[in-house]
Formats: sequence, C-alpha cells, structure tokens
Amino acid sequence: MNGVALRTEGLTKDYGRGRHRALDGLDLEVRTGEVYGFLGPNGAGKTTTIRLLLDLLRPTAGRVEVLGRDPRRDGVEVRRRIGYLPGDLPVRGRDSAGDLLTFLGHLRGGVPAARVRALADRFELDLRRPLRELSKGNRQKVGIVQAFAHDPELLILDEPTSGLDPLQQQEFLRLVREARTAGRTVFMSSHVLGEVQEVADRAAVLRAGRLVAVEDVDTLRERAVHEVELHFDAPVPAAAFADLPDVRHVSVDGATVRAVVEGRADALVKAAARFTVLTVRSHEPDLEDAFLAHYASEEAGRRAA
Amino acid sequence: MLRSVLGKTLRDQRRSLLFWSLGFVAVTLIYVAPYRSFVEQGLLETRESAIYEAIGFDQTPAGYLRGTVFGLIGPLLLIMAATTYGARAIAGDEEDGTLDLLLAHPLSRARLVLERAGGLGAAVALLGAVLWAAVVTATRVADMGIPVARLTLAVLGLALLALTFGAVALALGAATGRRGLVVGVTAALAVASYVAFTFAPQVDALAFLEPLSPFTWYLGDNPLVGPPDALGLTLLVAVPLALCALAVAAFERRDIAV
Repeated sequence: MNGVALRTEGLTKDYGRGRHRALDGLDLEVRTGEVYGFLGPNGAGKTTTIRLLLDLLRPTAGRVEVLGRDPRRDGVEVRRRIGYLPGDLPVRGRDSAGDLLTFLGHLRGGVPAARVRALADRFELDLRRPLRELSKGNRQKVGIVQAFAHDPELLILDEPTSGLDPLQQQEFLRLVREARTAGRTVFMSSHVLGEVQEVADRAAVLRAGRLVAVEDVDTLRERAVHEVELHFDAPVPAAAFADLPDVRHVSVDGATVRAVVEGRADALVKAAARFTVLTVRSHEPDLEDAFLAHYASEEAGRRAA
Repeated sequence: MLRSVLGKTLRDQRRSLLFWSLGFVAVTLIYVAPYRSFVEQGLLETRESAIYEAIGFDQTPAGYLRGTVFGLIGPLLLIMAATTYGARAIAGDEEDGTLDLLLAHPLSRARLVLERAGGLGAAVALLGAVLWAAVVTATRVADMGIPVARLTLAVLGLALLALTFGAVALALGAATGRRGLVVGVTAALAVASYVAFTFAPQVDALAFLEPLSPFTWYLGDNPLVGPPDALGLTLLVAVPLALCALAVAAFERRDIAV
C-alpha cells in the first residue's frame, strides 16, 4: 500500500486578537504505513498542527486531508480511524482510569476490554486508581492505552514519551514499531531527536511555525550532533585526535578528551581504541543546539547567496 | 452510565445533584412545613405595601408559597444549579481541557452539545422532581389545601424557568468557552429578568420589559391560583430549545481552546 495517510497544503493558523501566526504555510505528506517524526522545539507549532488535523482548530488558510478525507466535513468518520494521544491527558473527577477508558471505548462503539487490559499491563498501569491521583507518567500511560486500544489506522501522538521513565519509553517505542509492522501509520511529534531517530522512517523539522526540512531519518542521524567525553587510564597525545573526520571542537586535557561528533562517531572511537578507555560519556544537546543550528546556517547561506 | 456522553455527564454530577437535592428538601421543609404556626403567631400579617405586592406575598397558602418557595428561594436555587451545570457543559470542560480528548473521538460537535443539553435537562428535571416531592409533602404536613395538580404546574414552570437560564449558560459557553464570563452574564440576565418581572410594572417607562421576562412567563398568572398560562409555558419550552440550536451553531464554527 502506497497511499497518503495525511497531507497538508499551505496550512496556516493565526491565533488571538494579535493574529499571532502559529503556523505558516505548512506542507506535509505522510505516507501510509510509515512512522513520521514531527520535530521542533516547544512552541514551534507542533501541537497546533495536530489540533488542526483533528478538526479541533480551523485553519486560517490552507488545506488538510486525513485518510483521504476532509476532517472538517467528515470529522466523525476520520476520527473513528485515528488514535490520538494528547500532550497532557486532562483528567478530572473521581473516576478511575479504567472508567475513563471504558467511557472513551464506548465513544468508539466499544473496544475489546482484553486489549485495554493487555496494554495497561504492559505499561504497569493500575486501572483502579482514580484519575486525579495519577502522576504525569501514569496519565501518559492512560493516554497511550486509549490511543492504541482500538488498533487505529493512523496514530497521531503529541509528545508521546513525555513523563515516561526510560524503560517505559523503550516499551512505547516498541509499541510504535509493532504498529508499523502491522501496517499502521504513525505521526508523532517530539522535541527529542533521539526517540524520533529510533523509530521514525522520515521526519519533518518545524521551527517558529515553518517547515525547515523533511529528511530521511538516516540523514538526520548523519546531521545529529553529540558531545562526547572520553576518559583514559593515562594522558593521551593531542595529535592522536587531531583532524578526525566528523569530529569538531576537540580538547585534550591530560587523560580526558572532549569533542563534538557530527554524524558518525566511527573516527573518534577508532582513534580512542589505541589507548585504554575507562569511560565514554555521550549526550545529545537539546534540539535547538544539536540540529536547528545546522538548518539555520544553511538558510543563512542561501539568503546570502 | 459510561455508555454515552449524557450518562457520563450525569454520573460526573452525581454528588452535586445529591447535595442540591438535600438543599431543596431542607429549604422547602424549613419554609413550608411551619406555615400554620407562622399564621397562628401572626408572623405573616403584613401591611399593604408595594414590596409585598411586587413579590406577590400574602398570608393565604397560595400567596405564601408564591412569595417564598416559588417566587424567591426556589428560582434562586434552581437557577443557580442550572447555570452551574450549563456553564460546565461546554465552557467548564473546555477550560479544564477535557473537551479536546472527547472531540478527538468519533463524536460530532453537534452531538456533544445536544448530549450535554440533555444532561442539563435531566439534571434540572431531577431537581424539579425532588422539589415537587418536597413541596407536596410539606404542604400536606402544613395542611395548606393546595391541589397537587397546581403544585405540579408550578414546579413544572419553575423547572422550565431554570432550564431557560441553564440553556443561556450552555449557549454562551458554546459560543465563548469561558466559564467565568458565562456565569457572570447568565446571573446578570437572571437578576435583570427578576427585576423586570417584579418591579418594572410599577415604573411606567419600564413596563414594556415585563412581558419579556421569563419570570413573567412562569409566574405572571400565578399557577397556584390562576389558569395555566399556555403561552408562558410554550415560551419556556421554545426558548431553551432555540438556545440549544444556537449553541450548536456557535460551537460548530469555532476553535476549541486547549
């Protein structure tokens, strides 16, 4: 199957009295069966886009098509085939998590209770607890269960891993991979490059309401920047780490080497392997530093040309 | 109760409905049951006064009920309850962020408004039934001799009056999504309507306002003594229905706030 699961053309949204432009001419095309990452810093317009897809917001200009339909005209039909995970599941009242999931299931004409239970067990969610006593992480799990329970064709997930601990994040990413294997389409927003790299086929990068890039995830990985810190058992010569490909900002300080890797870590690892490595620490700077810098400079270059 | 939006709405309100019900029973018993002893102690002997005339109070059983439970405290409480429910129906849940999740499901906006309106109607009907039972019981205890049919008609009118303001709150909430504004405007309209019914007739320049007040539709011909006011009751049914239609239309065309 090689259809289009969702498409936007020139999608624009202004908010409020000041007509603040939250989204500016967004063109997206998500193919059926792919996992599509939607990356951007907070406030870039990711949630606005998602709420436009669900017909919770109405576009100022542009077109939206979800599963081949107009979400405004055929909203009920479209949303029957979607699973939506909000960024922060709003909860109120004394109902238990199980009650809410039963109610939401009925809105879909019934969802197999066994599937709800299986998903809850998988994320170790206690369905008997009252909603308002749930932590952010547990609310997120309720959100995951209701989004996946009816096994929808299209999953629209807004910052799906926020609040989950690392093990649960991995479990969630497994769930996403299973959905893809089953032929589902996944559209997930995130401000964390790593999780998108792990599961997505392609990703769009959004900044200040504009689309900056659409890339294969392999390309994203090449572009990704890591700060790496190596500790050796004895001081190492600076010359051993000079002029390595994909490695920048190297500083050698006795037995410690710090560097920024852009793309592959291969050259740095091979250079380090000649000495006795005690520890390796690597971390991903936030999206803005790691990643948007690249496109910002590219954009500036184009403008100068 | 978890099978529909309407059922869930009532389920979410079960505690508050219980407290309102207890309140109605208590108020009715406190005001109505001791009627005989109030009369015997001469507490209800009033001088001729424009105020008493305006609120329709006198010491006959019908005048006493008209001046207290049906003309003042009943409308006050039932309109408060209906306004609270009407404001919560759309605006309250929108401010809490729970509408987002509901409307991301296969549920049309019109259906949501109508189920919420149904929940409002059911809540007011339930409180009306409790009030009816309390009034019928209390008037028996006080031996006031008012036929049940008249009490039924009066409670029906009162419930429809409250429903009218509940529908105002629902429609304003559907149009604006702001609970504070909804409660404030609805309360102001209710007070204005009460004043238009009660005092406008005594001021020539304002007399034209009286027939516009929902209170007039309900109490203009005292349902405890006069004939049923067919036009008034019709208006009290038609206006909430029209407000629901407006609520759907307004809610269909706007953004849902986060």
